[in-house]
Amino acid sequence: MSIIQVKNLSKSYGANPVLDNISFEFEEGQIIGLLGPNGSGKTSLIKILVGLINDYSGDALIDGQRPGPYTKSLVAYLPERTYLAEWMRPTDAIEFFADFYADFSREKAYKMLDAFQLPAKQNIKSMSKGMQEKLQLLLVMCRNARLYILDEPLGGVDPAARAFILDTIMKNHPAGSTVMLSTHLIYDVERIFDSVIMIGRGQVLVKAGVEELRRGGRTIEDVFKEVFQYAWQVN
Amino acid sequence: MLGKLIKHEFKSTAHSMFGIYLSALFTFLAMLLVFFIKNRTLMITGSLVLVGICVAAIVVTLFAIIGTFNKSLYGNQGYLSFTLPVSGKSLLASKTVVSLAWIFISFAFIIAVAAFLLFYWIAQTSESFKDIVNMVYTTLQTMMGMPDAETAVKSIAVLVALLFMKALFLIFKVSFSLTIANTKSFQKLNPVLAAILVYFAIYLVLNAANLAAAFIPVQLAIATNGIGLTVGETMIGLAENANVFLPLPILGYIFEAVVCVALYLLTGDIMTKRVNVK
Repeated sequence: MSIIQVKNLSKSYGANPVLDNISFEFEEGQIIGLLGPNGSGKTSLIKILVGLINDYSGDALIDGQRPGPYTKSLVAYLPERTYLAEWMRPTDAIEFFADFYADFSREKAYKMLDAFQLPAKQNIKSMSKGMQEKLQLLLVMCRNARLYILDEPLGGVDPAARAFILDTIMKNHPAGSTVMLSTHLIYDVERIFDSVIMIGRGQVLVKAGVEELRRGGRTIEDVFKEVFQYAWQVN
Repeated sequence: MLGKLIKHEFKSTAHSMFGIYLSALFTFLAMLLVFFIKNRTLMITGSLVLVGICVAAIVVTLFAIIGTFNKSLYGNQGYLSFTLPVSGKSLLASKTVVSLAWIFISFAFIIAVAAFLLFYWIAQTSESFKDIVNMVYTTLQTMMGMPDAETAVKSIAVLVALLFMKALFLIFKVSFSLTIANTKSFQKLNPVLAAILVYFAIYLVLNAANLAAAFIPVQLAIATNGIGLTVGETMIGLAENANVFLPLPILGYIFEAVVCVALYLLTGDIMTKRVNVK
């Protein structure tokens, strides 16, 4: 069965459609690049899949079910913003995740906290943005989830941090799990993808395996530029 | 999962409440110290500070309930709350339980402060505590007709139950207003303004309904020798000579209880089906 199944999904903000009757599905065990320029609907699609947006038409299914407590137990979600309460310290956040997610490894989290050189007792409020992002990445990657949905984890960070984030994701996602990573910074990440889906102007413009896309010596970035240059021209 | 949600909700709200109760503790201790010094000005100042802390406890409790609800569901923290493997109704239930607990803690605190101040000032006089309590009780009995001991206990139970329902009603009105304010229809408005507008709309509708209910002359009557019902001039469950000193609009309370259940179900449903976390 497909881990992600999207059928005739539409979502609009007022009169502006951001996703217009899109359909696609992905089998389990892949690293999927969700690609598109800023404002192309990547975050809206992700928010529908994780259950943060509810007023849409069509179906967005995880393991065959609409977003709900069951699908949320399967999905480890990293948003593009800080979602931890300001009063929390890393230890509080770890205990919080350990309480709610049966697949969360407390032991791994404390080890990673050391490895990431994050102070266990420092208030999140007083941490730098980079430290907060590291902590959230740690929390997500300490889950033994079936599906990781990572929204722009590389946005707004320097190249060294990007390499660190990618390394953390690659080393810590369990074998057989699926990772869906959204980004508009393709150059740094294209080596890790098994499949990509490009969305823009509310439509799925490309959905293919990377081997297919790389035929003829092209890179994913080349395809991206070509697709979106065309998409902008026709729109 | 509900137990875990309640545990973390308590931890989260305790951060807002901690300062108030800590300052109260320091004031209590300072007043005990002043008691032995016998400085009347400081004793009066301490008493006024405690009364001020009581008012602050109520205000902070209300703001903490509203602020935590809004922040943890519809602010950035909503990205965490709404992706937990729990239902919307569990999230709402945990917040309701914790809010209710804080409201009762603040009431208990106010009663404790009142008792403390009573003891504190009585201890300054030459009268014995027992004499003063007897004097107060006798005065009230003469003025209002106080109930016998058994009825007093029942009356307190009824009043606590009503207080519980009123608190619950307040929480549900606030959570419903904040939830509606975060739906698509209100997204163009400022969420705080939208929540206030919705709250007042509910307030007006419910007051109109309560006013209508007041025309039906059925009341829960707390009398000096029992609790019963009055329908017009007829008393049910009370002796003929009963002196009703506290009539309560029971139909209004039943109506509010029904609205409470409806608001809880509606809020839970809207949270999971209509609200988009921004």
